[in-house]
Amino acid sequence: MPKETMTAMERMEAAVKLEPVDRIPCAPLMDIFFPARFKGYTILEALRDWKKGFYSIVDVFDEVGGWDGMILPGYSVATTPHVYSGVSPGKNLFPGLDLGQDEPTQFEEKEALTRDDYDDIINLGWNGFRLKNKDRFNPMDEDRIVKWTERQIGRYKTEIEFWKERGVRSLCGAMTRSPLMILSTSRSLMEITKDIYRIPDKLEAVMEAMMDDLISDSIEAAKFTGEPGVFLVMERGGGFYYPLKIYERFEYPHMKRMVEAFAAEGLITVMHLDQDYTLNLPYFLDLPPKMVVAELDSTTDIFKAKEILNGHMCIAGDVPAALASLGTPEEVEEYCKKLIDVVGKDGGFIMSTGCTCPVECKMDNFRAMVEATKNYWPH
Amino acid sequence: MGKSLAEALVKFDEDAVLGEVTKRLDDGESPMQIIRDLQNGMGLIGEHFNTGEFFLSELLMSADLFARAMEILEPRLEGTAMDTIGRIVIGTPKGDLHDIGKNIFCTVAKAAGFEVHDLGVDVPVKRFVEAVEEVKPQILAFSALLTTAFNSMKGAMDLVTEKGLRDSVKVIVGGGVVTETVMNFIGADGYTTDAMDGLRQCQEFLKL
Repeated sequence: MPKETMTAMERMEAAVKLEPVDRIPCAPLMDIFFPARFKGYTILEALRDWKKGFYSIVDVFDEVGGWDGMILPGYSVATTPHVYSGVSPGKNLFPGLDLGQDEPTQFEEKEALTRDDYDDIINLGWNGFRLKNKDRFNPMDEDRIVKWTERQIGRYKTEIEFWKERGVRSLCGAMTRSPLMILSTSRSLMEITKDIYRIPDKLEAVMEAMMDDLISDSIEAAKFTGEPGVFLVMERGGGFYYPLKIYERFEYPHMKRMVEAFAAEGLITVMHLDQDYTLNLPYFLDLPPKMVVAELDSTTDIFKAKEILNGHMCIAGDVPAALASLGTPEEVEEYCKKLIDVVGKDGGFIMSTGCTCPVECKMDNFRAMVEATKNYWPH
Repeated sequence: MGKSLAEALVKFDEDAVLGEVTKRLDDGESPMQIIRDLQNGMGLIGEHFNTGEFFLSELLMSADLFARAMEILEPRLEGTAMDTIGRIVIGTPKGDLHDIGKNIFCTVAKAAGFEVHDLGVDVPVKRFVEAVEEVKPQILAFSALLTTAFNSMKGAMDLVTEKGLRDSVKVIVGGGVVTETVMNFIGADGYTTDAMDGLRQCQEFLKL
């Protein structure tokens, strides 16, 4: 076991800033699904009762002897006190309502927005458009929305404070999505792809009209929660889906502007990159150095990411969901050691789950990831 | 004429593709010949995809256009059996509602000449087995994006084996979360994260 000379907070900070570490920090992306299974709660029970849900995460933390950081502090929403622009108008399916009581939340791929909405977004901006259409996208009345918002932000701050008292760093005080991510999940992948090919100029204008609200709300939320980081979700813009000429026009410029605006306010960006972004990695070198964490889900080649991004930005990831769910502890340990050997060399790496910790994850496998990170340090 | 239809499909030229399909039908041409030309276009798109020239978005655009052309053509087949190279039963297993990847695969498999029986999403274990009994496919395909689908797929495979059907089908599993570990867990014959690679494997299965 390496001799620890840093606190968990210092280790996380050093990893993000690409400074030397005493060992690699571990910070899973953890929602309540796996912890609920561990505690024997249904997903519905854990979702409905914030204390049950949040403290089931804490119980997982205690079960494995703790770790260093949280990508997100829990499962509350880091909203602003008034409007939350980072939510897609698309529909989530919830256990107990649309799904069985023990099924994780899923996203419904349907057209919540149509092309007819585009002029309104261009004219009103994203928040103005959402305000105009609030009854369409949210069945709750205004009073309930405000109360929901206040509850979410209050819990988010409580979660951050809880981890701070435990000496654990939460990386993000706000969450948002790129315009392409929002539009893809609210128009559907098929329809947004048609828009890209059929009406590119109009789509570009829509995205431009969304930018100011997405940026300013994220900055406001991060200041309000007090954690200087933004979780930027981009799952549908990479080379898995689109050629680079599309990426260069419909994802990269917005991503860059968002990251630069956050960095100007002293906020780091955790880029949540689901699906394969290997082709897009060289573009990340244009982002502000030491202010970004590329959080990978195991479909991007993390070893290639290290080659390209070494010395420029921190990488987090990427124990595959299938390995965590179906592999053995020995296989997980072997994979984590390889990550530490290669991606952990020279620091700038945070051991994490590939995307969120899967609901079917075996506790022994999760423990193997945490223990390999704490106990193995060849550099 | 066939070449221009295939070329229009490769360029996702909606007006040209749908216009030519309608015109050729109005001129009395056999729907099967038009379908063959469209299939040739999808074959070209597959080649571009396999060489890295085309991306998933281009596959999506052409598959959507192919499916819309088929909506015009299928009612005109009037009971004519389509030429098929094999049967596939496919579905997203219980616990998973995602269907983007499955739908893309269904379209490219149809375009390649497979008869595709799509069971939809959140498909119960028993339904897969019933479909294998009814359709007698050469290939059973699972599509999954969530880890919640792993046990459902394993359950379906166990039941297929229990019913003595395992030797009659090749099994492939595809989706964003799928790895060799998943293939081994459920006892499938192949796995993929990419629709065109999945199609290639299905074509390989039939050669055996």
